[in-house]
Amino acid sequence: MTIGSPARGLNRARSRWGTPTQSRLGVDWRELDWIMLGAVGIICTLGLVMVYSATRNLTADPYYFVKRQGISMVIGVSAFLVILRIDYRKFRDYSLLAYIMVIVLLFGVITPFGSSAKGAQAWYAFPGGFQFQPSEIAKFLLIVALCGYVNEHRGDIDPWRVTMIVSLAIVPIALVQLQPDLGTNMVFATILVGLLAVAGAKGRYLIVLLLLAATGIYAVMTLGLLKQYQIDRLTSVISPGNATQTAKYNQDQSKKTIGSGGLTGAGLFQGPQTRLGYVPEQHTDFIYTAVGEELGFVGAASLLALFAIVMWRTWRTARLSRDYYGTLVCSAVFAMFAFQIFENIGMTMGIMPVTGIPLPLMSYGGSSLIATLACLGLVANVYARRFT
Amino acid sequence: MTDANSRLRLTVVGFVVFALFSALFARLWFLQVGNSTSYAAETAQNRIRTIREPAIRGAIVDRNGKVMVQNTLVDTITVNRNLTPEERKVTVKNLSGVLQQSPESIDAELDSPKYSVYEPVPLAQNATYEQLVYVREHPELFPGVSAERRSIREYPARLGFDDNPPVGAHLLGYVGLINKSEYKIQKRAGYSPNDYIGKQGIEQLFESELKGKPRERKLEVDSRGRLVREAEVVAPEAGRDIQLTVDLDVQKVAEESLRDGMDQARRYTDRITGEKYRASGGSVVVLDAQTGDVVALASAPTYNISKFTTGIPTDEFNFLTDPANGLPLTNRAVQGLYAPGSTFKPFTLYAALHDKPLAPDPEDPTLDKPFDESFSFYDKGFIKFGAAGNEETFQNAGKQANGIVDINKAMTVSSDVFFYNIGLLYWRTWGRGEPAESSTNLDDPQYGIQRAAKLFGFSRPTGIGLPGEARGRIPDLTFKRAVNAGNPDGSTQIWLPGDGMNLAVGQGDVLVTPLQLATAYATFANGGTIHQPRLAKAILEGGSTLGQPQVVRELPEQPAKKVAIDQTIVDKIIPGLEGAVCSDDGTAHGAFRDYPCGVVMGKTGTAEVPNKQDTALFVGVTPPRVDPANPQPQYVVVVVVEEGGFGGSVAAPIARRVIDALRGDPNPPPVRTNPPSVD
Repeated sequence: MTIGSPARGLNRARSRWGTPTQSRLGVDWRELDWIMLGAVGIICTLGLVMVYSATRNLTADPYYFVKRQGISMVIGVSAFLVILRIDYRKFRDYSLLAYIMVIVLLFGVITPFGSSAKGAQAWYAFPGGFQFQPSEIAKFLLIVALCGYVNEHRGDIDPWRVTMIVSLAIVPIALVQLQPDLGTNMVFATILVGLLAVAGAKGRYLIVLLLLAATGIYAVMTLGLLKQYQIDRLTSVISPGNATQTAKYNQDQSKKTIGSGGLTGAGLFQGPQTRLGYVPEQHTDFIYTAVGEELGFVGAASLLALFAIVMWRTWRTARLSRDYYGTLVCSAVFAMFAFQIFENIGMTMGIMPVTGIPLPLMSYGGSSLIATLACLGLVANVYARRFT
Repeated sequence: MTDANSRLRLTVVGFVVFALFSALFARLWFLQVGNSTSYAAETAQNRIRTIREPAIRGAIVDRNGKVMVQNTLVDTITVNRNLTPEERKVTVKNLSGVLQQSPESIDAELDSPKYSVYEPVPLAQNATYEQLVYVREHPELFPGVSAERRSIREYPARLGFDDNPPVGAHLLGYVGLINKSEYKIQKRAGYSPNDYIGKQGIEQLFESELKGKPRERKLEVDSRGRLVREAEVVAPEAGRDIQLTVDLDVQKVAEESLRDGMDQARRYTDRITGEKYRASGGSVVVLDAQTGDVVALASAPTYNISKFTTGIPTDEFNFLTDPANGLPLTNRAVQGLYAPGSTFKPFTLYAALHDKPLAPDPEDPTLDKPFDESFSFYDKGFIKFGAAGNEETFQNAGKQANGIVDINKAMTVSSDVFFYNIGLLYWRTWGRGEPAESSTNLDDPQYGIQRAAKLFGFSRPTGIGLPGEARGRIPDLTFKRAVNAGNPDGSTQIWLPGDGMNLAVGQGDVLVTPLQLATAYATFANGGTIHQPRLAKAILEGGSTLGQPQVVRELPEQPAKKVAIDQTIVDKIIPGLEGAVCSDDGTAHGAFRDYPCGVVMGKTGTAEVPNKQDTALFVGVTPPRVDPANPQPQYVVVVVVEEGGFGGSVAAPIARRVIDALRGDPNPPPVRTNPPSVD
């Protein structure tokens, strides 16, 4: 106990650690959830290694993709630290701003400001070859926005309020559909359903909502709102320059690749399927196949366990949060991660359809990595301030 | 986070997610641990391309180690397919000039799917020295072109006529590019669409031994089919050599004698038609009666199998398959079906001595007594039977009367009338009237000749293993009814005396292959063992026939079947067969005039064929008897010449020269046929 340290609030006295230490983190480092941070660190490192394994033969510089992913990771960790410094309760006050940013970013990308690749207009291109995918950041912003709104209406989640919340979500969903990007929309929908579930919407509202979502997806897919090639692109990952490869081919290769790993795998950097490029989009959406082939069941199951730890800590944070807003934020992040992990890994193993959803922290792609770390920053924030 | 409701909801959501993760975990276990071997195999198939380079094919040598088929190297011009379009244009244009092939045909070869994309395409097998030098000296004109040596079949033993075709074409068969239907069957055995495969004969029969194991290069390719590295090389294993039972010298003499005899037969005039004999085809089979070993197997016309080694031109292949040219590809020794004519008579006599139908007693012709070796008969040149006024007449070839004939003379002079009479005796004794005439049961006494024929192996394949072996036919009532199905004439539905009489002299509907005839005589001569003919006696280590032969394994004598043959009956028949060769009135005496008696027994045959000239046949056995205590080879020689005239005048002289060779004369005197006389 340091005599003369300024008291920053009564609550601080409840800290298990006695007098809080001053830190650049903005929180007592001893209050951080080191189990989760450890799991996240290992996953990120493994992600870099597997991106290297899957991309080293794609370009003249074998580290090209790893370097870019490394830069994104630095930005993502910075974002994590910045978010951690700001008391998460302050985010409540910026709900509206966050919502407006979502709309602006998603609207802007479908105007000539945005650029298109692989059949979807989903990127902002910057000089130097850097690209930014607003729908990833939109996941973070939408969580902040919707949680703020739901928090304000705690206890009165009646049909009218549910309709309002859904309407708030529908606008960005519609904008993303114009890109089009079905995967992101499924994540948005999951965030929405997760939030409503925890916020106390009655079960039948949720069922109606799910039915509406299913009908909506069906309508988009079949009623001629999209051209066939768009449907193909929605439902499959296309290898650039090879239009004959279908989603089925991807999934077959993906399953075979994971299966061929066996119990212990081919060894890091030794997987022939990975080395020879038999799995399209392996460094992005199908990164899990590289883990499965080269590290085998031991490695792939360990990675799954690490994700489970992250999920468990997020879920635990939701329960430990000292306020309702914190619970909502963590629940939304929890729902989002659960869906992304299940859909992505399930897709690589042939039990879920092929949609373009990256595996959090693992898949190559800066926007996704940064947004994921930002969301984890929110969770860490809630955890670190669970007593204050 | 306070209220219980939210806690409960969060717990439920947590359980849902836990369930989802459990599902992922279970699926992962199933894919990687439960099911992983099949996936590993599938991914290997994904990326490994196997290139096969055929092994050196085994050689084929005769029973004494003389080479019949070996390999030789030829220079082949090949083109690498990884050319830019410009390079390819240059190469195709220039090669077209050098090889005298159209640019279109070169392009077609280069694009042919039968070659692996990782392998150079062979364009000109057997390129000339000048072509090779030109291509080598002007690499700038021929990007991607190289010359390599390839191994092809070579036949050192050649025949002394025409374009000196290799000895033993039908026996050996040839090697050619695998065709679609063969590929379908052999795919599993590891063949690829540009492999060569044995077709016909020994090359086909012993394909699995001769082929060896190819060198296999397993190439690893990436998802775009680009070669990454050579993953594995499986060393080749040379094909094994085959040592045949055939004697190359005898085989050569057989083929040349057959050819010579046929040429001579064409000089004679058929007195029935007034035309020259056509001698359109023929066959010689030499078997060792004691073992079933095939010593020679010839078919005429023959063809030049060496033309197949570098791919036979279409027009030449069409020539070989055109019936107008005598179908040289047919192996008449096993595929040709002939009426045996009088060469069938020993079996008829065997049947009669065994079954003993009632015959007129020579002492008192009004009485009957069972047929035996004392039976004699007055041959007035023809025999009539049937109701008075509606008689049918069967006569000797040439209508000559032989006077009193006993069983020996009947065989020696080949009295048809005597044997017609045996057929008639069967009918008189057991076959007359109902129900005997309508019985299809071959165990009935009236069908003794059929039983004897089947006992000696007729009417079923010998099992030699050569492709397309015919089974032959011994007619009976079942067959007769099948042929005449629906015929309202009642006489076509019963077994008539004339049917049995025709059968007795090997005419009518009897059909045999030369090999069957040889097997039957061998069985007759060796005391009743039907050997499945054997073509090869040993499998040798590949290439070892060039130096010290190393036996991989001996091929045992083929399965033999002991049949119940009464040696005392055989002994009663042999003198007549010896007489046919050595007595002055023997039908084959002309050909064996200078042979001592007792060295050869035999039987000539002159078979009538509807709408064709007579088939000339001769079967000889040397020596006629082998003392079991002192085993020695006993050769059966069958000669058949289609539309060749009389057996004694054409077939027996051919057999004579073959027997000369078998008896050790490497350079026997030429075939000396005789003008047609009598059978």
